[in-house]
Amino acid sequence: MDKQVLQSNGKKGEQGKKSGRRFELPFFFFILPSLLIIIPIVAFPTAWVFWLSFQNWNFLSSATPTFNGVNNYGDFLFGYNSAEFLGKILPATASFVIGAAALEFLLGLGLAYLADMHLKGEKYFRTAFVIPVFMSGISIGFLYTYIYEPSNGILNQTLRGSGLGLLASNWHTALSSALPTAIITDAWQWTPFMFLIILAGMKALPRPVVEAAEVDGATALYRFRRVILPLLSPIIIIALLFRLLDLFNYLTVLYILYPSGGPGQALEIISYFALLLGNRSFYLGQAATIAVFLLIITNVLAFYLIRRGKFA
Amino acid sequence: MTRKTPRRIGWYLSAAVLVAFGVTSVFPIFWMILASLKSAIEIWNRPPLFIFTPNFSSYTDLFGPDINYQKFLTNSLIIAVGTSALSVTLGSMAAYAFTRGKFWGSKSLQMWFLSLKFLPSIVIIFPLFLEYRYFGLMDTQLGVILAHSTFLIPFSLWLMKAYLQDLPRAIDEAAMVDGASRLETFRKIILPLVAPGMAVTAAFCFVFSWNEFIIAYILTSNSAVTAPTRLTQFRGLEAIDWPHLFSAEVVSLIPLFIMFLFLQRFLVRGLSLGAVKG
Repeated sequence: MDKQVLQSNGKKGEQGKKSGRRFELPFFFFILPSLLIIIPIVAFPTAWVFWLSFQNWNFLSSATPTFNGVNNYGDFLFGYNSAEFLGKILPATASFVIGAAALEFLLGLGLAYLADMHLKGEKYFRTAFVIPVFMSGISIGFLYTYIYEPSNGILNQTLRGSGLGLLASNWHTALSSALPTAIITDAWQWTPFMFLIILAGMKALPRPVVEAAEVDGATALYRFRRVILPLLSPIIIIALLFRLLDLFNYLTVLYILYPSGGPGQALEIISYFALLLGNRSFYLGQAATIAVFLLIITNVLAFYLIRRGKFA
Repeated sequence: MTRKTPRRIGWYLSAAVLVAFGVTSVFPIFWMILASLKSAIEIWNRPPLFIFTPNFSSYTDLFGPDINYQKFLTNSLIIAVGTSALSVTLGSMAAYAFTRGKFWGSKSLQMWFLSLKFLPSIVIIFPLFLEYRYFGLMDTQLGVILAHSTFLIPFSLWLMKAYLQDLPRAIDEAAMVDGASRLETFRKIILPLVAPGMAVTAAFCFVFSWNEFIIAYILTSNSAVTAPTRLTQFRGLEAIDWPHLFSAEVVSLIPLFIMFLFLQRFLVRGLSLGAVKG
């Protein structure tokens, strides 16, 4: 579709036969106002982040940064910060981001399959299910701090009361359960995202193909694995990339539910690490270095997503 | 499929799973609303209290002189409305240009714009803080509006593109043949046609801006502080002021609930930015 654009824009006078000699606002001027905001607020700070990442700067103790070469990068990758960064922050990020995306995908796929069977009740389920998407991370962080509270929180009280006391745990405050708890909390809010997209995809499946498989005697499982799943895979990949990118930007719930990064820094994922470096330790140079790492990861994923989804 | 071969057990089992997940989604919010009506002691009662005399004093305290929550709600409202208006206007203009026109660098410019949707705010927030301090934009509503807009212009562009691509180009051409300039075509012909899409986009922007925390938190200190940042201040050094916190959360949910009712049908399109038409 996009190929048939008026090629002549920008060159006034060649517009079309009818609009003749009149001056036409080039398309670029429709973009200019956005650029006037985006350049000072995104492009300039992004450039500044690169510059800052080569500086040594404790914002509290000195007014000006001092040039530090590639030492910040060296410290995180090979030097005295590498044990923390490579040994804790990156593994925590990977397990949280991949764990949450995987859980949400599996739950979303399963629920979409079930909801697709229940044509009548599906609407009510969907309404209830998507409500958490609208909540702010801060609210969710506090709400789950309350629910997970080990001694008097409703989750452990319910488990103990119903004879499942063995399952009661310290949820977000124990080293062993901190990460799964964070993943489950995120899944509570964002599984609906996967669910809605996959369900929309299922509804758009070419019915004749699915029914042909049914007529040919394929079992439900076989149909699901060999017919439905392959047809859905382009949508699934897009949905997963969206979710992964959002998870890399994930901070707010963790900031409340895991003050100071959680037990043993279990939830100090890369974005949270950058926030704590900048906002608590005031090491703006090092925070910028982490920001550059994060920028590279998300840009690679984002450009892949845009290409893959043919968005641009 | 199931209608032809009704296997009752499977039907009931899957219905039970759906009901369980639906209840799990709603119950925590219900529990929070209950907690906002409890006293500080009832909140931690053993066993959990479901029947009690509701106590609205934490709500009245919110709007009293000590907490002055209305100030933060007003800030949030001004910022969210300003952000939505600005982002949707500029995003639609950019989307119009990118769907209708082709000029030198338009492809890469569009790629870059769209990729900004995924820029983690933490990447730019510290330099932005330094920049704002220099230009005197710290702790102003305008400053937060501009910062939120940079994340929502790409979002609006993305969503409005999906709406604009659905409009046949013949409409533009007809208008321009009839003598309308490009700007007039956009303002008087195209915008009214995509107005429903703009309303949906604006509502999504409102939700994002209303809930956003990191940017609003770093860029404000006193007079422009938004509701989510105020919520974090209920966490003291030793304890959390639960009754006030929960009533403040419930109050800040009200506009979100209105948006939810409006946006429900458009969720797929909004969340997947038009990747899946829903």
